[in-house]
Amino acid sequence: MESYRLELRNVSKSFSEVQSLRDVNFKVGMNEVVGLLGDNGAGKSTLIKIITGYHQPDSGTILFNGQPVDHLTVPKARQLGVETVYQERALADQQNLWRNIFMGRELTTRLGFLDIKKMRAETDRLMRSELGFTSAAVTPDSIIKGFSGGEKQGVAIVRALYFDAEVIILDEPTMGLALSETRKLLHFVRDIKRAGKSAIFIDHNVFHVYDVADRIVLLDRGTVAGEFRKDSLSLNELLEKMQHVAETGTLD
Amino acid sequence: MVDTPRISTPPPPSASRPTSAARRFIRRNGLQLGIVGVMVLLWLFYLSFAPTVFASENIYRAFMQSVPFFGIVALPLTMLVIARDIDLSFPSIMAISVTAFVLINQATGSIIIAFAACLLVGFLVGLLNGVIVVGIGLPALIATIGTQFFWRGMVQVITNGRSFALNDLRGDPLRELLVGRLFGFVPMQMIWMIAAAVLVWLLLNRHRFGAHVYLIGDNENSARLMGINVGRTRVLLFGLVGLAAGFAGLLTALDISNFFTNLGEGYLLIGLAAVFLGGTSVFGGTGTVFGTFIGCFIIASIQPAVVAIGWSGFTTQVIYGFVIVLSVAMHTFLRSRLRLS
Amino acid sequence: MRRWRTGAILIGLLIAAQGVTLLGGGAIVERVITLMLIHVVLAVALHIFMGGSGVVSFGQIAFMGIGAYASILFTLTERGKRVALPNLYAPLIDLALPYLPALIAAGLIAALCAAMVGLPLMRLSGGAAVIATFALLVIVNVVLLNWNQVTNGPRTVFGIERLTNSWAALGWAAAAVIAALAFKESRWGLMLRASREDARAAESIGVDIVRMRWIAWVISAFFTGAAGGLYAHFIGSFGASAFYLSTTFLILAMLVIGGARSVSGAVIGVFTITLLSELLRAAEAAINVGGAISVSGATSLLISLLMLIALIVRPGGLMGGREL
Ligand SMILES: Nc1ncnc2c1ncn2[C@@H]1O[C@H](COP(=O)(O)OP(=O)(O)OP(=O)(O)O)[C@@H](O)[C@H]1O
Ligand SMILES: [Mg+2]
Repeated sequence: MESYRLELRNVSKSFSEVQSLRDVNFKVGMNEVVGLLGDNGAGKSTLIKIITGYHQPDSGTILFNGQPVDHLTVPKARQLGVETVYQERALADQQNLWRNIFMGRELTTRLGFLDIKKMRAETDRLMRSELGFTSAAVTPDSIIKGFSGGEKQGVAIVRALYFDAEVIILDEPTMGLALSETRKLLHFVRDIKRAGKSAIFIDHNVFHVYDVADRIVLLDRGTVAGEFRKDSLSLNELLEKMQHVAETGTLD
Repeated sequence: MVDTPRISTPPPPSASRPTSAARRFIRRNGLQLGIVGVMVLLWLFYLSFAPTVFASENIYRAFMQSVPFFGIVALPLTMLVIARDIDLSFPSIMAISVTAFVLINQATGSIIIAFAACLLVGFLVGLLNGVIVVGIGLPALIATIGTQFFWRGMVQVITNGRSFALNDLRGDPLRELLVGRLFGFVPMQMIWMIAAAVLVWLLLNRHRFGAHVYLIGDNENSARLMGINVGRTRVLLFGLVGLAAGFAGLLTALDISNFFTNLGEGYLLIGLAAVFLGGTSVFGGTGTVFGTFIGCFIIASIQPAVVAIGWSGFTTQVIYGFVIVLSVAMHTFLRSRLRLS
Repeated sequence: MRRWRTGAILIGLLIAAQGVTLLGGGAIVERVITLMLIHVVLAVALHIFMGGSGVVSFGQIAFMGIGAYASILFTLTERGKRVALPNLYAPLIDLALPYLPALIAAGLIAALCAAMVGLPLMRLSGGAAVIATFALLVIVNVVLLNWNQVTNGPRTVFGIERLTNSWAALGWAAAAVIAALAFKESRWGLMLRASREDARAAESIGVDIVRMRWIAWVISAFFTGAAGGLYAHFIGSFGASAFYLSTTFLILAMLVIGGARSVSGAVIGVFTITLLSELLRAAEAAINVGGAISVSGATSLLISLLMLIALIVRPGGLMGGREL
């Protein structure tokens, strides 16, 4: 039997009246980049928030490395190697850079006291090597409120890449990025693949998704409408399928 | 009146501007420096208008004696407000905790057990606030005004409105430790307030707990998404305020060797005023222990100053009120401006 | 129209309550009912602001205090003023108005004060608003406690003719209910409620939230001020402490228990709390043979407990935002 990094079986989730996900089956293989496509409100973010432990599914099971995990929480998911760039970025605007990078995962000494020196140093290193902040005006102690949208997105991305994750989830990471930054990001995703890790990549731009994904999952109003391996489908065919789903709600 | 510059946002990262260490220090600690500035200015003002009062050591001893009664609560309250919550019930927690102290002391004859009971009751009542606000999801302002009246009513029913003399505790080592005089001069409660300030500062600025407090107040949803246990942190904060209220209530009662059922009633406004004057925003996410510490003394200085200068005494409360309105309005103004820009 | 039906039902309830006084029971029942109807005015007035804007106010009772002191400036006789307010400014000594115009004047003065402080205050919302309105309550209370010339300081003013009976209170309660219903369905009221549901959406279609809030705030202050006048002429002697936290809490609790989002909620809340407090009092009288239990303590225990339970079990209050 093929083993998967993570797997959702028959997962459903609703918010009061809205059923966001209905009987969804979803897998991410070892060292696989899965692209997730779907209209606004299709349930993409809900799906990944179930994987990150933020939402609890109403029914269905979640498996990590073949083992069912019940009552998944965000800290548990992070322990299992899930790191996420959320669509809403999940930053704290009035806090400084290092507090944002290490949010919820502060480096501490045994009694829970912060190892500020180390977090600063690491942030400084990340800033220079990954974020490309070279000006002296930005330090690990800079409050991030003044950062541009793209820079904030950069912080969220670097944060997800810093902790040695097994699965990196990127929910519309190109939002707010300039063209060159986007290109760099797609490069990052390929690096994830090359490093032997897995990723879930959500984007409204089909070209980006098609570019980096090994497999593409189409989500439509809370259900999986289709699933394709990239090597069995050309970009044009994918676009046709998507159009068909949008018009009829089914693949065929 | 209160000109407190905010920690300025950094210039866009692309703009490279040389930043000296001094400038960085000012930028990072602008708020605290502003508050110290206000305090120094006020002090000079007092010295020139009421030199006889403010040049004598008596007034400073009086400050050290009475400020801790609300200051010790204002310190953890600062953390609570940073996390975007509030507790209006702490004056009643002070009273119910001391009620427990008095009753247990009468029943067991042991001041140590009574002391432990006092702290425990404060902590538990605080936790209960937390459970009501966080667990059940009531707005903190409404829920804690409710519990404020609940516990005050409880105190009145339990004590039947009587007051209790605590004279026979005079000379007890624990009492000396809590409200005695160090070197025959410094009131011990001041030492306790400093200790509380150091503890809260460590917790808020050097501990994971405090990091989470700031993050929750700044953006609760982000904090949740990044795996911070928001509920537990908030409930614990209410508990800490309760604990501090119990402790401060006991100091108040022991210092005057009497327990009145309205103990703490006057501290609601000045406690809040100290927090807001200290630069903590009602909108959460920012605030400092140092600011509140200084804020407590500024607030406490208003009353004697007003009296010494010869204005009528009631100006004091009006000034407290305006301090609150101004600090709150300032943050609203800053926020709306920042959002527009 | 629904609005008329609700109005008729609520006023019917008020009249029925007043009718209880005709059944006998004497002065005690008359006093309980009168006070209840005054509380109806206060709770409905608070609803006008809070129900519409969704902003909690701890400051309304300040206007009750202003109204109370303002009203007696008009109704005390010259002799009465010299005794009760010995330091009164000379020009105010000659002020005189009959009872009803005095109450209206009291309401107007309260509304004027509200109009002024509301200009900055109404810009705030959420936590900031509550804290600021609380500060307002404190400021006004302190001024009342210390403005020797007008309030005779912290001393009790006395010798006020007890002109408020259950009929007068009924009239004002009915007027407040009608005004609240009319405001709720008016253009302003609708816009205000739209802004409560979704401030940004309301703003984007051009609703001036601050102005709408301000209007509700001023109307609310008018009735609160008049209720202060009613109260002053009901109780006969009072001090500034009557217009502070406990009254604020009482009215807020009544409104929250009944349901802050509807006029019916305000009325039902007042009825419920009054009934329960009276039952408690009766029970206490029955139980309390020997030592007295602190009545005020037990009452505040009961009310706060009820409020918390109501908030937990029915966050929208008994009426849950619906009208009768
Ligand atoms: N916390 C929530 N409470 C209520 N409804 C929610 C919540 N989160 C999502 N929904 C609803 O679930 C549905 C799916 O939302 P979701 O955010 O998963 O869509 P999406 O595919 O990520 O869309 P987009 O491309 O716009 O990000 C929507 O109808 C949304 O309104
Ligand atoms: Mg989404």
